[in-house]
Amino acid sequence: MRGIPATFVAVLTAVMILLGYFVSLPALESARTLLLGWAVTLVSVAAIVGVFNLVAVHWRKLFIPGRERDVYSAFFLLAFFVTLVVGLWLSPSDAQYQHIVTSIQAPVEISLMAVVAVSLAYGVLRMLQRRRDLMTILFVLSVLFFLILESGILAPLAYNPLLKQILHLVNRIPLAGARGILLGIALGSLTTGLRVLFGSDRPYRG
Amino acid sequence: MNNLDLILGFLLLLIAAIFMLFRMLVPGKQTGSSFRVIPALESMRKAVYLSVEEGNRLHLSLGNSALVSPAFSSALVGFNAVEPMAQVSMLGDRPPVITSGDGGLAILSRDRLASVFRAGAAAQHDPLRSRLCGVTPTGYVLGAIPILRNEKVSTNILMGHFGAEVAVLGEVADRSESYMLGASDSPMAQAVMYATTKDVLIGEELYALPAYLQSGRAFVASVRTQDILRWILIVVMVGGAFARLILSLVGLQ
Repeated sequence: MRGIPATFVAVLTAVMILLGYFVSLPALESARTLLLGWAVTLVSVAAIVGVFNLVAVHWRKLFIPGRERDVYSAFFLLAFFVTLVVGLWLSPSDAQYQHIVTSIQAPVEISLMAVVAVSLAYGVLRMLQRRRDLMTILFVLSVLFFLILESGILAPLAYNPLLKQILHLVNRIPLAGARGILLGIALGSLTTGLRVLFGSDRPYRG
Repeated sequence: MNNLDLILGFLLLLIAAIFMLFRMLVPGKQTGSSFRVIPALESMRKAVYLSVEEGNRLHLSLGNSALVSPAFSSALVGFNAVEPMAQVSMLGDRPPVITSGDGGLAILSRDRLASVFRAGAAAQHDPLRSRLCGVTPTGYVLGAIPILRNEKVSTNILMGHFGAEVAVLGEVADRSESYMLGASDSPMAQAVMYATTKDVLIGEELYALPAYLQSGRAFVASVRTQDILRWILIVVMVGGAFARLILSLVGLQ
């Protein structure tokens, strides 16, 4: 029963926002802007709740007995509280504060991207062990082919008009594939949105 | 966007809505079980039951899309997987863990999980099993790694919006010898998952997933609508290409 008012509000809001998108009536447009503003505020509040959840999880991981105990959670909590206190004291817009935070965050994120590159190279090698079908062989061959193509080794071939045309055509194949996938995803998103609009798909339970 | 784009978009929406409503009201003979077999989903089913049988944990990741972003539709699909997965997990010793990279997703997943446990085994419910792992894409991946390693997870199901950084999760799952199914709305994540995970859903297969997991009329209707719209798009695109070719041959373009 609790779900009925929530569904009603969600469907009504969705219809108003959708109409505000397609029909240019000042009243609908202002309602749409107002509702989206509320949504952004709610998302910000949800982010704060999520951060509390993150802290609670790490606090528990620090004291839970057994395999799930994680001493690194202590580093997380220490870094979190130091960043919070210093941020509240200096304000998040303080240049020095931003410099310190980004000086720690950026190298960590860049290191992870380096790990991603290694993981991907290793993953492609492992693929042939995991799956030995035609699609996997095609995938690995196309990865190798486009790596060679993008490296510029074949650049002298572009002086020949026929080969230039062939290379141009080959370069369009991944774009065509990606476009096909994106069309499918767009249709999937559309029908998922319609399910929410009809009230038959509810991410909230109450 | 110009007026023509808006009119075409509205027409597509209207056609989809009419087809879907018609299919929901007049479902016909076809049900979810009459869909084509997706091998990745069959493997996922086996892995889920196996993890429950072995007393291991199930990890469901909803990715890191914000509630107000277009990519949220992929997380919505992930929410539909929470209920059936949690119901199976209730039979085992360890409740599932749901991770996300957005506060809103974390709250909604907690709500979903709580509703399943309230109906079946309220005493087993642990609210901290729905977690926000990090608020940036890399932060999320770094926060999820300890879960895969230390929490006796043997089945990972990734459904939502991810970037290339998801390769690290595939690598960790591979090292800890756990099963992983990847499904994302991002073509880049799909390519990365194809290389690093055992099973992957390609293209719009992600959006067909609720119809495979649940037997609601709306889910079946939405898959059928997707099929019809796909055919309409194919006809329009191929027809448009032929029309352009003919026009250029007769010298009108």
